[in-house]
Amino acid sequence: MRPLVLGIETSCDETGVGIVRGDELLANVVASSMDLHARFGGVVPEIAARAHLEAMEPTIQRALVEAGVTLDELDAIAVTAGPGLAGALMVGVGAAKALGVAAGKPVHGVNHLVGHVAADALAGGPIEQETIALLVSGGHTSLLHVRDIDADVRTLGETIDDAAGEAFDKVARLLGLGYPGGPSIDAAAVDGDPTAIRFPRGLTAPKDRERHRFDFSFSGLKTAVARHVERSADAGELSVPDVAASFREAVVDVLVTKALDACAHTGVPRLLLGGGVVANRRLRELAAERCEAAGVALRVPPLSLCTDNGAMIAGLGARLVARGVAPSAPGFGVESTLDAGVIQIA
Amino acid sequence: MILAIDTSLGTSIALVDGDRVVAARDEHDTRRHAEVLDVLLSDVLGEHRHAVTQVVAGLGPGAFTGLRIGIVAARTAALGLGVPWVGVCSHDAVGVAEAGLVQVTTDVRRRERAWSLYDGGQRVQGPALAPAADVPIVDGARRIDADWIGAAGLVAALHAGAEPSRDAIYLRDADAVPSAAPKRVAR
Repeated sequence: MRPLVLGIETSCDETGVGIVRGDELLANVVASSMDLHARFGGVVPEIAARAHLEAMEPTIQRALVEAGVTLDELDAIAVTAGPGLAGALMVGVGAAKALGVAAGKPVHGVNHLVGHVAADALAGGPIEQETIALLVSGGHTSLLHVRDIDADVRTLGETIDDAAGEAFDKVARLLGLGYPGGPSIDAAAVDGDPTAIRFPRGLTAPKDRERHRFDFSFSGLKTAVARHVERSADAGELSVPDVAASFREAVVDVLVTKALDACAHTGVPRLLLGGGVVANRRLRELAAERCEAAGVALRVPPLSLCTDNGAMIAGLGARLVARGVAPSAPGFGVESTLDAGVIQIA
Repeated sequence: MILAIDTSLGTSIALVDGDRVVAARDEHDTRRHAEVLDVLLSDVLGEHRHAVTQVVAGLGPGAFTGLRIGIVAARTAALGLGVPWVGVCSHDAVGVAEAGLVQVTTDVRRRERAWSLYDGGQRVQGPALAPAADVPIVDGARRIDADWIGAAGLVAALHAGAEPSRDAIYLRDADAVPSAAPKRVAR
């Protein structure tokens, strides 16, 4: 069975609508409010939610046209129910519910993080196989052990403070670079020396291994960068390229080190990357290098499926429908801190 | 038949045929719009899905998070039903039915109320924001502190010539201040 499913994603600043038939991608339309957040240096929840309201219905229409299907033909609607910004999630859930009732289609409220894993199925990945997933974006930094994407996903660890993408944004601000921080730090790092400054790798000390082996922390790193920038600027010897390259190396090093430690710990020789920070070239490079050395198969879906999008939500919904999972019960709500272990809201 | 949705206070959904309310469901809880939406909407639509010719949304004013759910629901319900949608000011649901000079106010949280002034069923001023304890007094106007906006009233407002629009009525900017220069971390 290859269900035709429309997926809606509004957990952060992207209004995403995708349509799939089984694991075949038919449409992936995204309206982003990123530019509206630039002068604030980060996503402003109320601005994001207002933009979702304006973009939602036109984005659904565009996806239907792109896929060449009608609402009548759909088997189901899937929508991100969490984790994410509550006010933003509610726009998507409200839209999905009203569309579902009006068009007579069942609605599945699904997990955003597991959606990132499901994205790989649309890119032809071996989705049936057990994998470790490293999901890194402006809102999340999570390591998941995916035994079975439709039924058994466990959170191994996540950030205890800032998300990795958020750290990029904040350090970009410190360095006077643009928003979002990922691309601007990448550009600044081109001529920098990644070994120039030894910035701390959060939660990698032996004392952290027991409780936080697979967790992340980036707030100490951000402070270390701030101290370095002040000290060297005062001394008139600040090198923005060196700071950018060394900071990026510290983030990417800890992400890949912990991901491969998770592969070793679980004995799973597969690693899947997801989330907007995958756009970072150095992350992809280092992951490829170290995975090869460790004999771990690396999957990196195309960027349009790594950043937040509705197609991955549709893809996850299609898998659940094909498996005969009942839709979410009427009256379900959003959960801004939904754990990856909850693949669908019952 | 016209399907009406208002979430400027609680969640109110109604189906109206001419002057007759065919079905209506209200949930007064002001923090459960996203949850109750599908339950109320399917109760109201029942077997009438194919009889709906238009959807009308209450555009506010109201608390943002809840307000948006009703508007986006009206828009996607219209899409799902294959009919057009339009919005009207939520205060119109109350104000157009009143004779004489009437000031309608509703709670918009943060110790503020939104108010609109109606003369003979026509909105002549507002909606505007005021401190809850200091809503402007309009000479000769009867004040109605509405604790409920019933969705059927939106249809009545539309029939009475309320001005249609498609923009949410927020009355407040999104809370955000552009970031200042970073603070020093070291002394």
